[in-house]
Order: sequence, then structure tokens, then C-alpha cells
Amino acid sequence: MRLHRMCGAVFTLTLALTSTREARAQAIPSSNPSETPLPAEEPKGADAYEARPPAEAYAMTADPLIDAKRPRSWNEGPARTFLATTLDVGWTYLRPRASLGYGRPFGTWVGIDVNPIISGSGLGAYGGLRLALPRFDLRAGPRYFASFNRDYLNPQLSYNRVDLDSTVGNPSRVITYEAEAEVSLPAGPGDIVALGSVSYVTGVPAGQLVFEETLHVIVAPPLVWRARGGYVIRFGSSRQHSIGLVAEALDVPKREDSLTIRVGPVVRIVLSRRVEVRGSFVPTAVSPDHIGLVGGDFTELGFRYRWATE
Amino acid sequence: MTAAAPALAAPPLPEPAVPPAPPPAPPPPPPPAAAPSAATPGSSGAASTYPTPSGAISTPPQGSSSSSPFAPPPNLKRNPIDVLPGDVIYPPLGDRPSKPVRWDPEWGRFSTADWIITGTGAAITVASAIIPPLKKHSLGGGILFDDSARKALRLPSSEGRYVARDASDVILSLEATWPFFVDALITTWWYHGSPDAAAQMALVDGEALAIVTAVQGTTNTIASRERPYGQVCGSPDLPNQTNDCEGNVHYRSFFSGHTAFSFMAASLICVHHMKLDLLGGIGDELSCVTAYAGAAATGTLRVMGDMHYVSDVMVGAGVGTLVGLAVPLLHYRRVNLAPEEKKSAVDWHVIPVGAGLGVGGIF
Repeated sequence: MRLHRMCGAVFTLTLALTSTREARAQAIPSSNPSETPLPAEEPKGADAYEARPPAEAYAMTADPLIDAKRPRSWNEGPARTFLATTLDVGWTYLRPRASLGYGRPFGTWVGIDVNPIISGSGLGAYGGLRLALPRFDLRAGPRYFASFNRDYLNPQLSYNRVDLDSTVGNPSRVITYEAEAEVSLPAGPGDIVALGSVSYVTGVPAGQLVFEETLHVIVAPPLVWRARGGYVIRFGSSRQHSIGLVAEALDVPKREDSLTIRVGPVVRIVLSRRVEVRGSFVPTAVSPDHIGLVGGDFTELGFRYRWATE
Repeated sequence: MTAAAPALAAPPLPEPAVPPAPPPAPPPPPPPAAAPSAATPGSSGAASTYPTPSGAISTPPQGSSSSSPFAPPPNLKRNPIDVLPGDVIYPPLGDRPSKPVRWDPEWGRFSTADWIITGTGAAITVASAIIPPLKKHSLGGGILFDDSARKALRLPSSEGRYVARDASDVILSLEATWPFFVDALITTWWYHGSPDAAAQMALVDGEALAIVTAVQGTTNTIASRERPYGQVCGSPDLPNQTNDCEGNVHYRSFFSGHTAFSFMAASLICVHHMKLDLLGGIGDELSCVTAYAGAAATGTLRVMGDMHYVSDVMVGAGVGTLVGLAVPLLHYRRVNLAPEEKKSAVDWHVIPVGAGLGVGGIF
């Protein structure tokens, strides 16, 4: 227990980032350092256009869907007020998000994020403030989730799938207040990525626990902390793609020996300014519970479509 | 059609193995204004040549506004998949050229009818997920060899059965998304730099998925067959007050959606790889074999996890395979033929047969 707490402190001090946080959280907005195609390397403002290959370089790009004359990233042009949307689709989830802010969409901006949470296990919504800078991202806000079929849980040392699927109690309704920070640091051919978050879970009857649907962990309210770290290798014409390995730790201070550790690969292929393919498979390696994939950060392959006002 | 990297700017895309196109024997008629005849062999004596997916040599149409040897079909901009106005596409893998994947203009493109089929399938799927299975259960217990297969394959421990379920979920998730995200988007769009072909593939895949989900959802709502684990509801392993025993999923055994989607995806993977040479040679064959092996594993794990009877899995495999083969193959048919080809496709003749007349055709 003491060791877990110490680990927690170390991880909490380590700000981290990930390219796959949407794998675990519908509520988590889309833009962050890892999602911006190399903001540090990309030219900005008036120099951006000249720094790109000349138009002749794309003379062979006869496909009319390829337009060499347009900016290749949302993170170009002057700062402006914008509306942006992100749609994540995979097997089987659909996660729409909207952002209203000032700055450069999906890159450097400040504003608000909102998104509904729609899944087979319940409905909810997230809304919060957001500050995104190159290689740093901060968000904070409340998330509401009403479960269809997961009830509040009576205290136990460990839970299994049958416990989680029990219909004895009342379906859970919780509000989670959450703050999360992410950073990425260039190192070698890629980036060291790190993330840290603190969640405050409310709405749980006294003496009971709840399965937090976004963090995928059983929580004795109110606090949960999470830390994720890893390394991603970047590649591609603008180093816009990435592949790497992440590990994360979660702990619930009010639960004895509740440390959860997950490890797995993440990948991101950026096909265009709007279209990306993302994958992650971060299953649980250590946990007091035996709830299988439900307890992992499990997205596998997904498709992301982004749009923003120019 | 290609998305060439900057480094390709100087030389045109090399195709050294492809000999120049021989000039056509008959003088070609002028191409019709809107016909997608870019790949019609012999339509002009243009110098540029490019390989079709089948390896044949074609030339751009005379009068084509594009000077590229990889000119897209002229009807591309009218295509409903052109949903990316204003998008900017990254060049493919740096300075490494790759052979583009071309959606032959003679093949059927995703049409309004396809959108209607896909939308209808999606609507039926949603409806069947909301509507609970019928109160009257058409199938109860195992049929044929279901019970003996269950006895042999079902894992003894509850923990083991949950692991089998999770494993089937993982394989299904990978398998069902592979044709969309790996074959279409990553391999075709990104690696080969061919977003148009990628879009056609993904849309065809979506149509197949919509059909299978609609058929599967409707069938299991109507059939309302109890899952095998229903026999142990109320036991210490599986109390009655659980979602498995009280929820709608309890009576959605026939037929196995996991198996149907996996076999559909495997069939899509095979057809696309074989028709488009996405990886070339053994790579395409391995993709196909691996996909079917994964689908078979998914079906087996569903029985091991006590979620389905073998008959559920076999019907699911059949439906998935059928739709997964039929939908893409219908699109890979040569339908957009040039007028002269359409005219000559079947040569009809009235001929004397005995004391009467008959009609014969030369294909």
C-alpha cells in the first residue's frame, strides 16, 4: 500500500501525454500536443507556405482530392475564433466532440470542449475548459454519466465480471470533476509523452463504490489519480505519424491496494488534415479486480474525422 | 491517380516493367462527354501508359484535361464519396514511391442506390438493437450436434469463459475494422497514395457491414433463441440477477453476430487483396488466409465462452461469407463500359432454326 502511494506520487509529478487518450475517454477532447502534426517543426504564419515544397513538387498528384495549395495543418494561419468538431468512429463506438475557442484549431488555442457520451452501457456528457499549447495541454471540467446496466457496488476487496454485471442495485449516476495535463518532450526520433490527471467522483451513495466508465476502474469516492507515460516514434513526410508504447497507473486512495497498471501499444497514422487512423490496445496488467477487457483502455482501431472553421 | 511525394517530382512514376501501349488497330471513336473512359484501352495514342489493376495497359482519354499518366476518372468529382472538400492530403511515405491502387473506371462506383442500401441496413440494425427479442422463442436448446459440440468445447470455469468472450471481442474488433482502417485507409490511401480507391473500398465495406448487421439483428430478434449459458442462469457461477440472464442479450443467440462480422470482414479482405494487389504476391494470400483463420477462431471462442451454439456460428459464418464476397464482387464487375464495348459485348443475331427463327448471341 505504501509502495503504491509512493508510485502514485512519482507518477503524479510526471506530466505525461499520450496519443491515445481518446481510447479511454469519450470525454477527453481531441487536440493536444500529440495530435498536432509537429507544431514545433511546422512553419508558422507567412513563412509556412514558402517553407513547404514548391507546387511543382506535387505536379504528379493528379488526384483531385489532393490540393497542394492548401495549408497542411490546422495549426497554420493567424489566431482566430473558431468552431471545431471531431468525430471518432470505431468498433463499436461513435464519439462526436465540439470545441469553441480562440487560436489555431487542434493546435494552439484556449476555449471550451463539449461532447456527448454515447455507449452501449449508458449516456452522458462532458464540458470543460481547455488550454492547448505546443507540447502542452490542460483541460478541466465535469463529466456526467448515467449507466444503463451497471449498478453501485457494495464494498469488496476484489470484483469480477459477475459483480459488475449484477442487477441487484440501482443503476449508477455519477458526476466526475476532472483535471488533466499532458506534455511531450522531443527525444531522439520521437517524443517522450506523459499525462497526469486527478478525478473527483460524486453522486455515489455513502459506503458504496462505482465503476467509472471513462477511467475503466472501480472507484471508492471521491478521488482517483492517473498517470501515463511512454515513448512514441514519429515518422512521415512531416513526422505526423507515430507509433509507440505507453504505460499507465491508476490508484483510488480510498480503496486498499487498488493500484491498476496498464501497458500497451498506440499508433496514429495521419492521412490528411481531416482524416486519421488511430489504434490503441492498453490492457490491464495489474489490478485488484478481475473484470477483463472492461477494465482496459481498449480501442484497437478507429477513424478520426476533424473539421474546423478556416 | 496517385499522391506522389515531393521527391517524385522530377521523374515520372517509373513503370519499367510495363511496355508501351501498342497503338490500337481501329481508330477510336471520340470519347463520350461524361463516360468514365479513362481506362478504356486504345482510346487514344497518348504517350503515357499506366497499369490497370489487372495488369493491362491503358492510356488516358484523348482530350483529358490532366497531363498526368495517372489521370483520375473524369466522373470523380460527381461521386458521392467526394466528401472531403477543402481537405489536404499528406503525400504518401516520404520519398519512397509506391504503385498506386486504381479503382478501374469500368468497375461500378458507389452509387446512390448503394447509399440507400447502406442507410436502410443501418436503420434496420438500430431498430433491431432497440426492439427486444420476441417473447416467443423459436429455438430452444441445441439442435443437431449443438449439445455434443457444446459439451466438448465449452470451457469449464466461469473465468475461462469470460476470457474466451474477451478474446472473441478482441479478434472481432481487429477483424471488423481491418478492411476499413488498414486495407482501405492505411494500405491504399496512405501507403499507395490512392485516396479515391480507398474511399471506394471503405464504402463498399460499409455497405457489406450494413447488410450483415441488418440481417443478423433482424434474425436474432425474430428467432429469439436462448443463449447456451441460459441453461446455467441461477447457478452460483451466473446468478439470475445479472445482465446476462435478465437483459435482452439472453435471447440473441441465433445467429452469431461476432462470427458473421468476422467472416464478412475476412471475405472483404480477400476480395480486395486479390482484385487490387494491395500487398502483392504472397502478402495478399497471407492476408486472406490469416483473416479466415481469425474468423474461425472467433466462432470457436464464442462456443467456448458459451455464448453460442455451433449452429449459430455456422449460420453466421455462412451469411458473413456470402455477403462479404457478393457485395465487393458486384462492385468489381465491369459495368462502365465504353459505348463501343457495350455494343459489342453481346452480338445478337436472328437465325433460322428448323422451320422457324431463333435468336442467338455471341458474347
